[in-house]
Amino acid sequence: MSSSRSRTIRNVGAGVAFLMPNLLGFLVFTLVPLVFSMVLAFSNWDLKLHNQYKNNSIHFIGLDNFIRLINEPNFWKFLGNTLYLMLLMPFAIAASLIAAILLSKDLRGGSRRMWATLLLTAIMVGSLLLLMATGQGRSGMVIMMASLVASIFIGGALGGQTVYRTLFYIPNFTAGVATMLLWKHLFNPQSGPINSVLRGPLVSLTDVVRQSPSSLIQSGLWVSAGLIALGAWFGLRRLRKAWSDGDYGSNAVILSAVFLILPAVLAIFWSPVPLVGWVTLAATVCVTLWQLVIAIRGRDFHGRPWDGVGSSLMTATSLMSLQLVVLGLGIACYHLPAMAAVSDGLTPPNWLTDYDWAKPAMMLMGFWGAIGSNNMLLYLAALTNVPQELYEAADIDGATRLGKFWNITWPQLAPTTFFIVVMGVISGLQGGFEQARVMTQGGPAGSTTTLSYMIYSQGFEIGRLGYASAVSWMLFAMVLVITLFNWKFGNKYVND
Amino acid sequence: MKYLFIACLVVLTGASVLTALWLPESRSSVPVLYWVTDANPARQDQINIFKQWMKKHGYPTIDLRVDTANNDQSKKIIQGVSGVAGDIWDLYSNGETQYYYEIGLLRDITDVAKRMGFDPSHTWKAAEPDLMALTHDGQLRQFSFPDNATAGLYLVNRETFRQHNQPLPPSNWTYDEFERRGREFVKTANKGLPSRRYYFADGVSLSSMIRSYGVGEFNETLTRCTLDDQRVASLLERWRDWMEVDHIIPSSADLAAMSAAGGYGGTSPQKFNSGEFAMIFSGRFILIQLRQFDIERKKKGLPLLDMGAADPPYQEFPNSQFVTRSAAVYIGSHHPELATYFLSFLASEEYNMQIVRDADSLPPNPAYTNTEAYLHPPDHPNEWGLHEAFAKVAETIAVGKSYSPFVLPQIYNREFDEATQEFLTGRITAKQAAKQVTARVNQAIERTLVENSNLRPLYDKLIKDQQTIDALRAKGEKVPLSLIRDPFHRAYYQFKGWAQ
Repeated sequence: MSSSRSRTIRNVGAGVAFLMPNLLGFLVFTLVPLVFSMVLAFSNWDLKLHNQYKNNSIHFIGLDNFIRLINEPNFWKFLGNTLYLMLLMPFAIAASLIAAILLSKDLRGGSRRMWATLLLTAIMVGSLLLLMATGQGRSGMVIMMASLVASIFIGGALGGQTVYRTLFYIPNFTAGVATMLLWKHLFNPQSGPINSVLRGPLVSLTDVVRQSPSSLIQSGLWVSAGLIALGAWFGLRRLRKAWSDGDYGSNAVILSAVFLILPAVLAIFWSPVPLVGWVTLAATVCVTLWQLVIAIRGRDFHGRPWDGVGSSLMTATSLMSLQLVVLGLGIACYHLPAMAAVSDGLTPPNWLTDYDWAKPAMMLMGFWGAIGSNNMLLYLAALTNVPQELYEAADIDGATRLGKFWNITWPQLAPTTFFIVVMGVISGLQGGFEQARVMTQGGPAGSTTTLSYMIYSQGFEIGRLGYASAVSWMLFAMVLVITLFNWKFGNKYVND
Repeated sequence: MKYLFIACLVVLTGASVLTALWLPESRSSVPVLYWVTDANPARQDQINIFKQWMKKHGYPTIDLRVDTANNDQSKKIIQGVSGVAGDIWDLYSNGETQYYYEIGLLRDITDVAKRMGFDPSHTWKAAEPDLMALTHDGQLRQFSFPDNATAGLYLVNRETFRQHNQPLPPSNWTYDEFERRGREFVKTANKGLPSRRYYFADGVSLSSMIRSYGVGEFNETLTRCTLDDQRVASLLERWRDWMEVDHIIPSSADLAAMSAAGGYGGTSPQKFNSGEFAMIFSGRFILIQLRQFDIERKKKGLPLLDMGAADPPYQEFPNSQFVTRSAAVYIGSHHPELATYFLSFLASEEYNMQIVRDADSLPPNPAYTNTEAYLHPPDHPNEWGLHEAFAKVAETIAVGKSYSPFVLPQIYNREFDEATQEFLTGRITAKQAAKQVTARVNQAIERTLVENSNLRPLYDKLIKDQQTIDALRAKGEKVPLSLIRDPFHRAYYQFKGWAQ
């Protein structure tokens, strides 16, 4: 008995000893700082006043930090910046899904395909060498890029999926700061490759715009109004059908419909021609009423009020992002003739130094990173788990490729998408610090300052540790609420 | 497995002990001090000269090492309050002395500096705001001494002016003259070119421009921000037009587009050397980079850069902002007395002449700008005349920066940058920008007073002084200089004859 007991003690001791390094690390570097920062959020700890060389004592100040935070205009501005950058999320998820679907195909060529690729590559490289030899090559960089593309083709023809999967995943294991510096150079207004590429087409576009009647170009605003209403119709129709099938509950549909109607409301404020805004809203109201009339006729199955809210919100917000992009393009069309009329004509944006373009520039970089991100790997793994019998059954029923994607692949990927959305929302709310620090220092005029950058700035540049902790916990509260919402409603749909 | 685990533990413990033993402090028989500074090859030379100087004077032998990895402000603060920062810190002209004093991280060297000969009387008068901090009882105490100093002026590429048949700028000129000549220059130089290539100058010092209009960032007692002024709004509009309409100077986007050029001093010296910037506004340190171009020119058999100098233009009050890199002793240093020797060394002939030779800005002690080595460096005849101009600007019109003890410089800078950027991007008017920065900085002052009640007595005293000043001014009487804390106002009052 005693030998058994001492052996148990020894085993427990050994187990605890094995766990201790990790446990201690967790306690010292995670749990204790976490609890400590929570206490700090309710204190007036300021490095200028409270440190080992100062005799001031730290005081408990209740909710003062939080009240001050809510009343600080910059907090709302930086929260707005954070949410703006998160608009990228639907596009990033779509990009990683498309990349995963492409990479799940067998890309290895048959012998004929491989020889064709090799031949094309040889022709391209040979032509470039000839150009270089005769002094016609534009630059060493062009030759190098062309050779790189050629080797990718060859590698893909020979190695298939493995080569392309590795190439797509490269951005994810390249150091973040290095890629940000690279993008900073890509965005260089004068010598950056992006503007070098844009400059030519913009010169041509300037000529086209100058030679065309202004009203014709500006009618793009009306086209965008139509597309926004069309988007609302498409989304509402889909919501109505899902509601009719009992997949979505009434409350979920109403909430999602608000997001689909929102761009039309914003059009009233943002459109340079107020009439266009009102027409957009009127058209959207019409399609809403139309779907409502159809819905009133009754439904086939009944669901609970909040059923499918996660999925419906995801569809609605994705469509809303697209509608907003269309609205932006419409407004750009309206201003195009005036922009082309100036002596320089249409010029590429100044990206990171332009208040209006700095955030889109960061989103562009984020989009590039998202294509080959961990999300792509998750989708790749999830795609292999989709039962082939479902596709076979669909083939027998004569389903199209789009039909198979929409009715089999997408629903089967729902748990993965749900996980990606949850993680995306969390990292989106917490993100933006590295980009702002490396690329813009939060500028111009605070346009790229996110909440995480605000925490750093308040804590380590100004020294208000208590206040910075309050910002952190406010951010945590937002993440928690949204994640709970996701789990409550999104998870239910996924498990259904 | 458990033996493997124990073995890992033993190896890691052993490695930690070895690392501790391997630290310079453990291996060295003499005290090791760390100098937190920027990455500059000249630092090693300076350390060598310092060691020789210590030996020459019979001071204790020490090992001084450069720490360039922790020169960032936030690192200094975090390491400082944790008690593990380097012994000597280089501070820069963004209010670091006042800020670190507020945190309690710097050693007060007022008395020792007097005793060892490196008090403010041994350096430039305009350096005072960077070396001293205003204590809570209203006294000025010394916390640092300059490594070097800078007062900006325009370096002129005379070759470029000749090339475009433009007259050389005068050494003393107003902003109206600057604008007129600038417009003429860019019009002539860029004529027939497919896109703009030539600029009159790389920029203007906005803070000097504001002061030249007779406006200070703060009032006389540093208790309120005073930028909400019509003159500030009109000069902001003028500044914007120089970038966006006249293209006399490049905009921030233009500069970003040119940023491919590397090297010391950024894009400006490269463009100055190529003639695309006819003038650059800089301190003497820029000659370090320009000398590199001269080496290249010599190799190619080209003439050396033909350079001249022009004072900063002005509207009403001629001035140039004076900045320093100064050294201070960390309060938590294990060897504060030894660290103080280094500050004493900065006032020595050996160190000053090293700065003179390297052209690393102005030497801490102005006396060394009268030497032949400073005025006529034998290897750089094309610089003769320039060094004198730099020293003259520092001596005559340079004014130190304004730091209010009631608002952190980084908050002021952030608000100022944000407002001017919002103005430049067309989101607000110049008037709104001036109003916004003033309102926000004053809000920050009020918040400081709520958070730090220790500052309240000083604030109340200064407010009383301000009332006295305002009353005297209203009556048209002269104001005692002792009441004025802001360096700009001290200089401005003297310039206008308003000071007793």
